[in-house]
Amino acid sequence: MIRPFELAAVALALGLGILGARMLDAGLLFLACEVLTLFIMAQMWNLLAGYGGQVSLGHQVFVGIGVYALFLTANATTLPLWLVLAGVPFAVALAAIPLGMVMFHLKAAYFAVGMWVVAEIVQQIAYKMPFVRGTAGLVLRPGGQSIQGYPEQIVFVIALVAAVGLMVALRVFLRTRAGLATLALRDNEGAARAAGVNVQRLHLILFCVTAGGCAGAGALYYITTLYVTPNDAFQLNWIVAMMVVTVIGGTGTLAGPVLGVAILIGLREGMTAAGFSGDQYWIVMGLLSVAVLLVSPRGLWPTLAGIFRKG
Amino acid sequence: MIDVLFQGLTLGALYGLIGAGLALNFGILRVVNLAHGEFITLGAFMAVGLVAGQAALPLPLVLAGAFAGAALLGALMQAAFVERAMAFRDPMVAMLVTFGLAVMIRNGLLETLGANLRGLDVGGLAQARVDFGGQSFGLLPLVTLGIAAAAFTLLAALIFRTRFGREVRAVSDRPDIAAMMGIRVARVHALVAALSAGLAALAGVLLAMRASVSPFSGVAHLLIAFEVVVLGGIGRIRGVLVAGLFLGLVQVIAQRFDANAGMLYVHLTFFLALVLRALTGRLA
Repeated sequence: MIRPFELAAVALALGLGILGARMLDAGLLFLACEVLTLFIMAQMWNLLAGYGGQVSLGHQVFVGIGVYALFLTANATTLPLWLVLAGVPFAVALAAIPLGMVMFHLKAAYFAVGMWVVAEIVQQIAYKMPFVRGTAGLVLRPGGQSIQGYPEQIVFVIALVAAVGLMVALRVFLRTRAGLATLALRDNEGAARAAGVNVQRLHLILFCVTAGGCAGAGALYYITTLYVTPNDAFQLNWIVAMMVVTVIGGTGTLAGPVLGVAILIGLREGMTAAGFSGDQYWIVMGLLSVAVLLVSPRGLWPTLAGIFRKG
Repeated sequence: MIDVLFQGLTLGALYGLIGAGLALNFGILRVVNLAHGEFITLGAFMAVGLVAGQAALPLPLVLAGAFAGAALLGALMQAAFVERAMAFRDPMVAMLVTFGLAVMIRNGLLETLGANLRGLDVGGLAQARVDFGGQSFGLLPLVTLGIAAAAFTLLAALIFRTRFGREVRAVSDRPDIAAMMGIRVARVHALVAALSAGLAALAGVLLAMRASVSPFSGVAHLLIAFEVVVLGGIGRIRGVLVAGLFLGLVQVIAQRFDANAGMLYVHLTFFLALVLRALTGRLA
């Protein structure tokens, strides 16, 4: 069950969120929204790859689907924007069920590549749909009206509560029966299967949850930009960021993606301020992930945590 | 119609070539090399650089230069990084290492060359045509097809007819026993990685003659290479060639009916084939 200090953490996040939304300037809020939504996506990838053992190269497809589900539904109906946003993760998670049932016939590398192909197909079909308006892009106009005020303030509160809530929810989940099965799956799939874990069903659950999570985080992020094109929403950079964050921070640990996002964004802001180009930044990130994998293949967090425990 | 078929076969042969390199890597090293697409781009850019420096350089030398450059880099990468990652029990680690290397190469190319599209100028070769049996064919596609066919023949001969090929197959089947028989496994790995990167570079040069390339092309080419390998089967050189030809034909025929379809129908065809095989249980 949920523990008191975990409830307190969510309440604290809500309080800090409301306070931060009032105190921080627009630039900082925008950055914070990016950090938090990226963290949610990376944690989703981690849940599927780090815990479930299913490396996906195509989870950017759910980011794109989530964004377009939000923009198209909000623009075409008079439903409140935030209600639509709340519905997006559930709708996408449900829609992911049939895809998951097909994709899980594929093993390991076949699954990874198969997901990537799915992402490419969906992106190119999205281009051809007249209502997506292709490269011209789509502007968020809920109910046909332009958004008034500063949406990033509300997005920041939601994103902070969602990020902390996700950590708490995952901690609680890992204590349940299904959570223990997930940990067994992470440590040894064959042994988990032998101990009676329904691996196929667990994979499907993780797949749908991570699909919905990526969709929700994507939709949340694009409320701050108010504008989207298929090129942007379905871009490979989403999955690259999710993977780099998890690999550097720590696969199969809850704290890993927190550390990873801090490194990814911290280094980016630092290097941009020091005058390095975006390409140079990504060269460093690539080098860093290779170095971390060779020294500590499960990421930095397990190694750091080990040092602290000894010391 | 014959022209379309011919174009499809030419493109397909190149797809087969990039697939063969990836299949070699996957089949023998058991590593999904996510940097394979970057070698295709690297090969193309090395050729562009060679031609820019020495305009009169004959095509065979350009091809050989790109092959050698990429092969050297491929062997270095394998020996310095991937080989170490292969020591971990989890095969995912090696794949993620190649992913990090791909990010580095791609952004290194962007940093040094910019994001612009570049073509490979092959002089009069691009326009030249030859008549054959009352039908006119472009000389460039014929040359491409010839080079691809030669590469496939040589590859098959290398793997199935030579001492090195026997070592490679031994390492692929049982690396532990191969090592006991005195085969230097790490050396075979590095040579296979070099061969794989060289084949990718070869295909990259030929692809750059057809259409322009940018540092972003690697990702799309990697995806094609994967599709070829999955359809053709790992460790089956002929299957890879057939799969490449098939996907090339699909792309060219689909573009005839829907000019801006890009790779959509290729991906759809691949996905359908994959699902069909998964549902009938014929999947490794």
